[in-house]
Amino acid sequence: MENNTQVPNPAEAREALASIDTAQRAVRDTPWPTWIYPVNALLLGAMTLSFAFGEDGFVYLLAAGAVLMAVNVLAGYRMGTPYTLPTSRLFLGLAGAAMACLLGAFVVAEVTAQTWPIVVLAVAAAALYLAGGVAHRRSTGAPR
Amino acid sequence: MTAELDPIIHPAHRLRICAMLVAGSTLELSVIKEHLDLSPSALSKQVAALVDAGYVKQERLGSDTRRVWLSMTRQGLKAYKAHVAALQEIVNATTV
Repeated sequence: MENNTQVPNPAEAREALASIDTAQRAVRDTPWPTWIYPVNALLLGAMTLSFAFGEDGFVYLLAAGAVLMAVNVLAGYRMGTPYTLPTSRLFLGLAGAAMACLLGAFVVAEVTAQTWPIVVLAVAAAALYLAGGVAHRRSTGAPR
Repeated sequence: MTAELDPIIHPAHRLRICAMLVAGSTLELSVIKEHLDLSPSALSKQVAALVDAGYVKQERLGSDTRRVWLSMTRQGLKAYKAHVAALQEIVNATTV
């Protein structure tokens, strides 16, 4: 056990804290493969659209959700960073908005039998995620 | 000072390794190597110190045994948080 820790001065401590931030950003901003953005957008759209199929849609929702999770975890493992949350707030906000469309479709399906609002929400979910993907790519750069 | 600096985490490279593991939860060793200016043997030494202290878990997952995965243990996370708090206290002491 090492026990000769020299207490850093304030400037060194500040530098150490800055290095933590830099290291964490470097990991969190690991570029994603390009194909993952349209695939995620399509799957989110499909999950949202599943509410238009009534009770049968639940199976589609589960299937698309399982594929979405599997694709992202596997891609994460291939990249070496399976559970890392990106730093881009714009991406996180737009991905959150896409998820809100999914939840909105659930509410719409509960209150009305009309399918067009669900279709609109599905298109919006996919479009919002794709826009988020552009923001994410801009913040991370292209993969090497 | 209430929080304490951790002698295992204190060296700059180990602090950065821990920071990356806290941000990423589970990371492949090659990802860490990519972001640290260290030779493979030097990186192995730093990781071994963290593993020996019980702060980091090292494992090989699935069929690809060439890939080494690292994650923080509960003990490591606690020590890291205390270390960062101690650094923060040093910085705050000068700004108050």
